Amino acid sequence: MSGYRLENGGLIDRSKRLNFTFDGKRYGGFSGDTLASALLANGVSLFGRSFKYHRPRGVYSAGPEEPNALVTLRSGGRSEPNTKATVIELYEGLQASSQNRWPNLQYDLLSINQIGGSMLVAGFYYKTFMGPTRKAWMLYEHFIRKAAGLGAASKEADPDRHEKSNLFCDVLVVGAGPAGLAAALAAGRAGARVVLADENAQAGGALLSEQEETIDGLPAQDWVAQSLAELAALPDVSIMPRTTVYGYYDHNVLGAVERVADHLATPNAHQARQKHWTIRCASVVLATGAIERPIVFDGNDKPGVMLADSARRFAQRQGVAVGRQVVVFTNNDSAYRAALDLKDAGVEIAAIVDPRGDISSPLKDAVQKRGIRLLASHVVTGAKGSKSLKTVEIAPFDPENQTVGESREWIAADSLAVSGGWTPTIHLASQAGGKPVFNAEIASFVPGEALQNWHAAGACNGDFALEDCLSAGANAGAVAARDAGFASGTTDVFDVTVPAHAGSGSSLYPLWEITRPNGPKGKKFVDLQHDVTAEDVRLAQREGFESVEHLKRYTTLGMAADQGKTSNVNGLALMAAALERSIPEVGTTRFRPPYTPVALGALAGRETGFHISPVRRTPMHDLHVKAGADMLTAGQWMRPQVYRKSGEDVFDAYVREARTVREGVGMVDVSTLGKIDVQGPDAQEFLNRVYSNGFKSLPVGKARYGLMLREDGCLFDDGTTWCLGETQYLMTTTTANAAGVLSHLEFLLATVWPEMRVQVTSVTEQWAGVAVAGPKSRALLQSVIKDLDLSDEGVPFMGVYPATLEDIPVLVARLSFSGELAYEVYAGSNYGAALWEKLILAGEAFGLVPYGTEALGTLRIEKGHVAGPELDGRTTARDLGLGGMTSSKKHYIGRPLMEREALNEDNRQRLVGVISSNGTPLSAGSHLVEGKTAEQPGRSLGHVSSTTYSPAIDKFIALALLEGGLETNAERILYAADPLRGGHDPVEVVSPCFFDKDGSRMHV
Amino acid sequence: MSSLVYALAETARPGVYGASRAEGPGLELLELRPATMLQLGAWPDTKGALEAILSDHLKLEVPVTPGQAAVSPEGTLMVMAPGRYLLVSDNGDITQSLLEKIAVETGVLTDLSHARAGIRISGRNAADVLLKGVVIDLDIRAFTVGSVAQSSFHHVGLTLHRKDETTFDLFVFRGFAVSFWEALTDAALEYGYEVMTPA
Repeated sequence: MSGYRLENGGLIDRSKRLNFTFDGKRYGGFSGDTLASALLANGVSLFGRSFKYHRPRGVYSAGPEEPNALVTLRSGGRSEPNTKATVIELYEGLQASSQNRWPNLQYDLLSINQIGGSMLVAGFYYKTFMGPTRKAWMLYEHFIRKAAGLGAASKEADPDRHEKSNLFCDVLVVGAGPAGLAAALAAGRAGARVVLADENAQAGGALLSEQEETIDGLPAQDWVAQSLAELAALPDVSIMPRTTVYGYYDHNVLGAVERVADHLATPNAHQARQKHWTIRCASVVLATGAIERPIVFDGNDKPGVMLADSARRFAQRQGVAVGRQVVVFTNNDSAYRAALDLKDAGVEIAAIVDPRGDISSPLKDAVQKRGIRLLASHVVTGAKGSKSLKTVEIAPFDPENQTVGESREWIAADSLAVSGGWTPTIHLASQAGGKPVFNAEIASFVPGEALQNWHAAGACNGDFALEDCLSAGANAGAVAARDAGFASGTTDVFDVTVPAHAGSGSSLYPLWEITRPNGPKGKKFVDLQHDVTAEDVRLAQREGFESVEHLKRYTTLGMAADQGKTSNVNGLALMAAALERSIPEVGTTRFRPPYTPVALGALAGRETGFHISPVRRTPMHDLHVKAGADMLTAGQWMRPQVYRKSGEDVFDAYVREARTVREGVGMVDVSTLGKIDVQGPDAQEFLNRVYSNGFKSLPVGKARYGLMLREDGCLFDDGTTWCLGETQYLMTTTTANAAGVLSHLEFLLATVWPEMRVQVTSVTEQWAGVAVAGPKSRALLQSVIKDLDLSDEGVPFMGVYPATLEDIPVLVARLSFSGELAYEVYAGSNYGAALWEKLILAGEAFGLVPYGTEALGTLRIEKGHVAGPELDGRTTARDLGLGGMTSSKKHYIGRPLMEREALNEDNRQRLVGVISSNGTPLSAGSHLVEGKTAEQPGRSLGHVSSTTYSPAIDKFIALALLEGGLETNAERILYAADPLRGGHDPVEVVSPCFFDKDGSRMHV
Repeated sequence: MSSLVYALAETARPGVYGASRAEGPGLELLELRPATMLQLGAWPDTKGALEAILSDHLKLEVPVTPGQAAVSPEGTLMVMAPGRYLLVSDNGDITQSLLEKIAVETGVLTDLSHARAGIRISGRNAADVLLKGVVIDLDIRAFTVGSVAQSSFHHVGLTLHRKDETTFDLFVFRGFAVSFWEALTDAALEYGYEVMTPA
């Protein structure tokens, strides 16, 4: 093909030249060009190689339906594969490259696939690469994927921003062609909040190609400009160009992508490249237009073969002739406009080939007047040429009997403009509607029943005449506004003039595939993007894949990014012919979102990297970071793991921290513990029902450790609850279960005991908490707290008292998780940082160290205190040695099912301690087995749950859950088997409390 | 020096950030530091009694429906759910004075003064920025002045109160404040924003 720039015409700005490269070669174009139009203007005809056969392909359309001219845009982290050259707006410095070729586009070695092409039929890979073993596929797949396919994604991070936002309106109008503009005007004038979205940079749709039509006395394009100006002046109308509404979901929620800066080389500072909009609206007008349909014949994929109206659009919009000698092949009136316009622009029209015998006289007259050769009752039977079209093969056709004659004529042409009619763009209607309905007049499907609040108008509804589009659009806009509660006035009437040679929309002679009565049988493509041929459709039918849904999946017809825009109806028609049924009987597949591909970046928005989800910080966070703590995430919280000193590793640090707590004093940030305010006249009774141990006798100023069971009798959570007043309690939960416990309590109050007067509120964030632990904790705290006697008499074990720490109001609770003399000090979160700093300062004299979650774990494991790894949802109170805390004197949640036999068997896995016999660190998750070797471990008797090195007893220790517990295993030697990470080490089974068994250290 | 350190003290640094717009930054952000945030809850049959006390004490009319706020010099009372209220006030003694008036038989008070971080977002693009996370129609006709909603932004739960056409007060869990601020200011970059000095 040898396209070129016309002397005049087009909506481009010829004063703005733009430079760009394709496959490294430099070209020039104009502002207003697409990449496709600019390449055509430069005489480029070869755009890419096809998916399966690596056949040379050109540009086939001028819009988002493009199946062939797929290129990789930009490079590096910005590279975007499979973009359609027909929708890429040209910008200065644009870089694009072709795909699916090696070593280059002109000489693609894999084009050898064309020769073996008769083998590469539907299902070829499934049928061929079956064996010899299942693993064989793994080997083949790599090579198959390399050979077949489209562009490759970049592995570099995209440097650009993508954003997401929400949009609300009364009426969403999809498509800004004549129907959409009329709809937006009607709804906007009625006062509705209207969003008018169009995938193109310019509104106007088909009107952008029209030079002769007038609307209300204005040339069509002036009417577009006037309408846009009126819409822009309406306060509640927004016009969104470059915005593709790609998906229609339940409850009138639609997904759209705005290409904010795709028409720029790089976005402006702080500008998103693309913005994803989730649109919620009362009503939708679908004015999505129609896509021209190809006709299937031998060689219909040659570079130079394209849709007729697209050829016209290149001339009318970008002033580009698609070739120097053009043959037009059409089964309907619409393509005559292409022939006439191109001819008027000075392009040679070699012939118009039309299977119909009877062509309306205005068309005939217009053609004759221009001296164009008209071949009525003829069809194109083949297109020839390798990397560009050379000749078109014509044969006579009998439209009555639908037979192709035997005589042949070859016409030299570098471009073949084809029209098989128009397919309404019903993607969105199909996503949110009933089955599409077949309209025989246009031989295509139109939207079915609306299952949501939408109204289709214009070409997407099968109305192709301009006047019909406008009035249907206006009507749909008014109805949509009414849906949203806005009464509209009179329905708009449009005064439209259309030239006589515009033809009629109902002139179609359905024609799907041209078959030569004799002669060569070349490839005839139905789905150009996926290289699906007419023969593949018939093969699928022969092999039993008759359902259109099976046809789609077996042959890949209409799948993936393409969504069958040019292939769907032809594929159905061929299947119908093979089955000898009608097209409506065969039916159509349901379209699925997205209508056109959506970049993953647009869906992710700003939720990338560190910001993929929010993190939660305690009030002391900055101080931990300043102190050089290693911060780890625990759920959403950031917590200090260890405070390493120089030269220390994590092990050294936590051992030092834990040892200091036992010998002196340490403190740890416990602000993350779940805290729930439980208040009301029935608060105590409520607690007594949700905890398995008694809470009736808890006096004001005291805390109690409580166990909470699930309804099924297993352990749910544990923590202390502090009685702050007769009707007010502060419940603490584990960090991980804070939200779960709150919902559990809310559920009980809302549904089980609605009569109880209790309110529960999360106050986790209200309180900053510090646990001060160690023999010197009392002395340290007493040095900063003057209004409370912290002696054993003043604050006895489990006592809770308000106090003042220097100037900070605090709650002091004598609780110990470490087994040492310890206090928890709570202050309002905004005091948290000051509380920490004051304790650090005062602690210098006492050798205070801050400690992290590692040492916290070490201290509790040494004491055999259970935590998350033991409260794993499968264990009971008895399993963990807490059976004594399940009351037999009262009712509480979980009691009935806790008494199930299976939960009380002696051989259940129960809490034990284990000590590494050979001094090897133990891994959590290791199984406890009897077998001495890793090769013959025997069955699992339990598993290691929490592990640490114990500075107190100088050994590697762990808590574990073991069949029969300590009763049947005490002092037994087992093996901790860790086959995944490697490890099989002897352990001795001991009591889970490794240190200070009588608890005397905390009662001082 | 006060021992109080607010959630965004280290993060919300005054200054102008983001895109430079001829008409000036699209929005202003200010950390709110009210002395009191107090949740009040009535029992099913004491809603009227509690509202009478609140109305009298705060000198305002308690909105009839949830999702609305009333403002008086004593503070802002938001109706979060039937019989559940959030009071935001600059009066640090208001909790004590309400405690003296509200017996546990009438309702309960939960101090949340330290539990939330407050951010005021105002300006011509305030709603545009919020809509990047909040799934609420913020059109002035749909979400009128005085409306209150609980929603989320970047997975952080927030309470949203519209003060006037272009001003919103936001309250988030204190622990999420920095993360929320990062997401909010990131969303504001394209419009440009100015961080104001807290009172």
